[in-house]
Order: sequence, then structure tokens, then C-alpha cells
Amino acid sequence: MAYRFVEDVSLADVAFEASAPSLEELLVEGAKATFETMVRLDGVEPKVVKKVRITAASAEQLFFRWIGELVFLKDADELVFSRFAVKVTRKGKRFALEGQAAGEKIDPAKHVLNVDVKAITYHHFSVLETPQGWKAFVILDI
Amino acid sequence: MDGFPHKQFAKPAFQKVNDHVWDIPTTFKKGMRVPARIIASKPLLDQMDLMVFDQLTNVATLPGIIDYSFCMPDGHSGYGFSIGGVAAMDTEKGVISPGGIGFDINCGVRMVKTNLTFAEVRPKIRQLTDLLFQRVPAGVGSSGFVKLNASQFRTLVEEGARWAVAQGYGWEEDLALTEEEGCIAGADQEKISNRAIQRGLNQIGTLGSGNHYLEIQVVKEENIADPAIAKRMGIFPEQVVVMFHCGSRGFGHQVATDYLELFLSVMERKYKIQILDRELACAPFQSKEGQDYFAAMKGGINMSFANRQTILHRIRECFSATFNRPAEEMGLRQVYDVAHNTAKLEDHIVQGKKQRVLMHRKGATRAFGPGRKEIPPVYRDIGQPVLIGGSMETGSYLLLGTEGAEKLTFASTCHGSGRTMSRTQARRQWHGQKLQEDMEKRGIYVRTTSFPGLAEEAGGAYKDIDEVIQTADRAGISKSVVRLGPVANVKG
Repeated sequence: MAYRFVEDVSLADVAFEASAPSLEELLVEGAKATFETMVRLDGVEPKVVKKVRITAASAEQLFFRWIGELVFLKDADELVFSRFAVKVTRKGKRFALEGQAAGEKIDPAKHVLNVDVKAITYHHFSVLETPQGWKAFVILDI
Repeated sequence: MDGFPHKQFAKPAFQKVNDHVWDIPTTFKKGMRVPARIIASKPLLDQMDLMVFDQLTNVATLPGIIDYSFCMPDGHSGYGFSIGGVAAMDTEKGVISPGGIGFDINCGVRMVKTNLTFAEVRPKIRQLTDLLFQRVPAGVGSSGFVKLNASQFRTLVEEGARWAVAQGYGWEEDLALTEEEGCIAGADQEKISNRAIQRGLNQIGTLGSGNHYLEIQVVKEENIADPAIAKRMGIFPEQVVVMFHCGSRGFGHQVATDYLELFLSVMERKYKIQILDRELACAPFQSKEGQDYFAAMKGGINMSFANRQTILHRIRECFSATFNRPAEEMGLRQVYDVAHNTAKLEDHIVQGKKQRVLMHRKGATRAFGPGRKEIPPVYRDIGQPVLIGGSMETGSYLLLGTEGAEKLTFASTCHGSGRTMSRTQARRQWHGQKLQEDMEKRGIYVRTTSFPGLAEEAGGAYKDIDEVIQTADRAGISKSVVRLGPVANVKG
């Protein structure tokens, strides 16, 4: 279970790949990579918990919307998150996610901030189930 | 992990048109409707990463593209279109694509002049920069001083900078000196989601992060390329000017994200359009989805004009407070405001005839030559001012648009210096705090919300701005008026 940032992929943006035994863990890794792009995670205390519900027609769309929702909450509620929990259920071809993101109000005096993420992009985006588990490749627009 | 085929991109066999124009023929990739055309010197062409050419030639496959898929001299890889990507689309047969505009709708640059010399400002440069840093918020998720409800924000996205001036954030003359006079017609707030509104509600008057900044710059006599035009534009040696670069913040990002998802859902199913990269998701310009996005995207354009207008107001306040004089007395007048991430309807000559086309510019600046009615009367006889933000260590430029740009690139030129190094690599190479100290020793005082973010924006991570501008000049797509050197910078 891990994520790592990939260099020389998108010069002005940030790319990462993530892998995990399950889709749920992959979604958590993707969220961590997204927020580590913006802030040092160990400095963000889990003081506020936001609940997220998403449905999607594929695992890829679910991943895209989950990250999109967290980026939305970052601006709309001025929050950064460091801890995530996700439960995914499948009904036929539909995916439903119930998730939680815990963090706190952005405080430049307290948090070690990096760069803002504008959006998750579809550029070379992939979420795949493999015999070894789940994998994702993501480019974030900076 | 097989996620990324970066190393597999083929290097095209370029057809040299002249020293600054290179073509990739349609035989390079299946489905190309037009050739790709790169405006670059040989060194700049050699510096471009191979993904640029892949992205350029993907754009060349879009329905309705006219003449060429263009790349400007500062081009580098992005997503969908490359950065520096320009495409004119037929308004009847063509498509509109959020990937040809960018998530940061109407990211742009505004320049303000003063009648102060550096000798007058220098003793208070730290005080002034500290105040600007405090009053023009920057960085991750920053919020501004303007408090609006959703209904007021919906008015703002239809009125743009006019809204800001009506609130007292600026002067009437600022509007005339802004592209589209600060308010593009046809923005429709009904086409914009509540989520987009919620995301941008607190962000008016903020810079954002990444390569966004506010910079105090100085004119040096030796950097004035055209003394007569510079004088005409109110530029003089040792003058202090201010330039800032930002866009439509989370609001624009959400509008783009919303419509990207919508377009992906209808593009193949409803309109039978096949694309080579999902970030090129598009819809026929004349379709309901295409027109809805166009009207929503114009809301992003207007929000960004309102944002830069509000920041200009804060800049005037900061100068006033620092020097204890009214902004009017210090001549804090706007030079111009350009947008470099947009799609707009413009008239151009296509195959000898005037035609209205949909211009996509992503990291490219409109560069109309003299005479165009879109240029403010005060500049109409000299050409449209073009503002180029360089890296924070090197310098920026004031240019003018040309007739040559109208002939060669649908009136488009570069927008910045263009990155050559990834953010991760830059962070390894430079340390933010050390860079800040080094820059101060060289006479550039920097305030930032993020030291890692500062390291990512080091001058060495960018192309040589002078080479980019010289190329644009020699290719005839803009002409240089003055190079502006940084003395202080507020970074997101």
C-alpha cells in the first residue's frame, strides 16, 4: 500500500502512482497523495471530519469524483485533510462510496503548505484492478 | 506500473518553414486534420519535451480545427492541449474543449505603472511587500476580504471587473484598459453549478499558488527596446511598476471540472466524436452542451477579471498606506490586463476571407496588431499590449501585438517563459529558504506562504525568457517594448 510521485511526466503539474490491495485502500492512498501535494500531512490534526457520499459508474469515475470532492472541500470550507476512511459498496455496475476526511482549517502559520491543487485531470488517468491488487496513475493540475 | 508512456513518444520529423517556424505534417499521426505548427528557435524546439508534440498533434485531430494546431515559443507539455497551445475552430463544424482553455479559466496578467522611481520606493520596499503579502492573500485555499453570498457572486460572474469597480474596488479607467473591458458578454450564471459558486465564494482578491505571483519591478534604461513606444505608454527609466499573475481560482477550476465530466458523458454517445486524450473532451460548439459550457466559461473569465480588479484595488491601498499619499498622486494606473487561458469568438482572415472563429488559447496571449477595434483607443494605433510574466528571478516583458501575429498565429503569442524542469526536480535542486536568502542578496525581496512552492518556481526551472521573447519578436508575432526586472515578489 503506497503512493509515489512520478517525475518528468507533467512539467508544470504533479503526477503520482498509487497501489493498494483493495479499491478502498487505493482511494485513501490517492487522497493522501493529493493532500501531500498541498501540505505536510503530519502537521494536519484531525479536528474536523467531513462526510462524503459519491456514486459512480466505474472504479475510475469513483476515484475521480472522490478526489474532486476533497479538492472542492479544500476551497469551499478552507480545510486541509490528513486522514481518510472509505467504504465502497457495489450494486451491479454501480459503485457507492461513503467516506470520511479528517483535517483542520488551513493555517499558514501552523501548516507547512506546498502548492495548491486545482483539479484532478483525466490526462493519462487510470485506475486498474490487477492480480496483485489495485493501481492508479494520476496527474493533478497545479 | 505501466501508467505512463512518456518515454515512448516519437520525435517528429519537423519540416522547417524558416528559422522560427516548424511544421509537423498530417502524416505524423492518424486522424490529423491539419498540420501542427511550432513557433520556436532551434534551441527552444530542442528543449521542448516530446509530449508537447504528441499533445499538439492530438489537438490537430479535433473536428473543425482550422489551418494548424499551434504551439507558442514558451510551449511545454500540459494535459489535453499543451501549454502554449492555440487552435482556431470553425464555429459551425468545430468543437469547444475545456482542455484547450485549462482549469484556470482566464488565468492572466495585469500590469500597473507608477510615477515613482526605484530610488523613492527602495527605502520602503520591505514594508510595502510585507503589506502586499498581508493584504493580497496567496497560497493553498486562501480567502479574500470580499464577503459575498451566492446570489451576489452570481451577479459578479456576469459583470466581471465592472462589478468590482461598482463596489469601489478600482477606477472606471481600469475597465477600458482590460481585455473585453473586464466583462465578456454572454456569461450566464444559470449554467454554473452551486458547487462552483461555493468553491469560489471567498476567493475574490486572492492570488492562488503555483506560478501565480505579485511582483514589483523596475524599468532599466538599457532594457527599453522601443524608447518611443515606451514613452508613449508612460514607461520611463528607473520607474517602478507592478505586475501580477492569477486567475479564476477554485471557481474556474470547478466550472472546468463540471463540464469535463459532462462532455465525457455525451461526446462519444451523443455526438460520435472520438478523441485521443480524455482531457480533450469536447462537444460541438453549436450543441447545447457546447453553448452551455461557453456561457459558463465566460463566467470564469469574468470572475477572474473581478479578481484581478480587486487585487489592483488592494495594491493601490498598500502603496497609499506605505507612502502616505493617494494612489492617484503616485500615478498607479493600469497599463493593461490580458487573459491567457480562454476561448473567444474573434474575426480572422481564413483563406483570404474574414471569418468568425472560436479561438482556444491555453497559455497563449492574444496579440492583435494595430487597428483592431478590440484594442483600447489609447493603444489602437500601436497594437495590443501583451504582458509576459517571466520567472520570479529573471524578468518579465511588456510587448505589443502585431499584424504578423494576425497572419501567422491567429493573433497569438507566448504567455510566459515556460517550464523546463518538473516541480519535484526543482524542489530537489533548490531549497526554498536558501533561495529566498540568495534572491535577497541579489536585490529581490520575496515573501511566500510556501518554501517548497518557492523552490519549485526557481528561475532555473524555466526556459530563458529572453530567448522566448526574441523568438516571438523574430517570428513577428509580437514586438518587445521593455523588459522589467523584479525587485520584490509575493508568491503563493
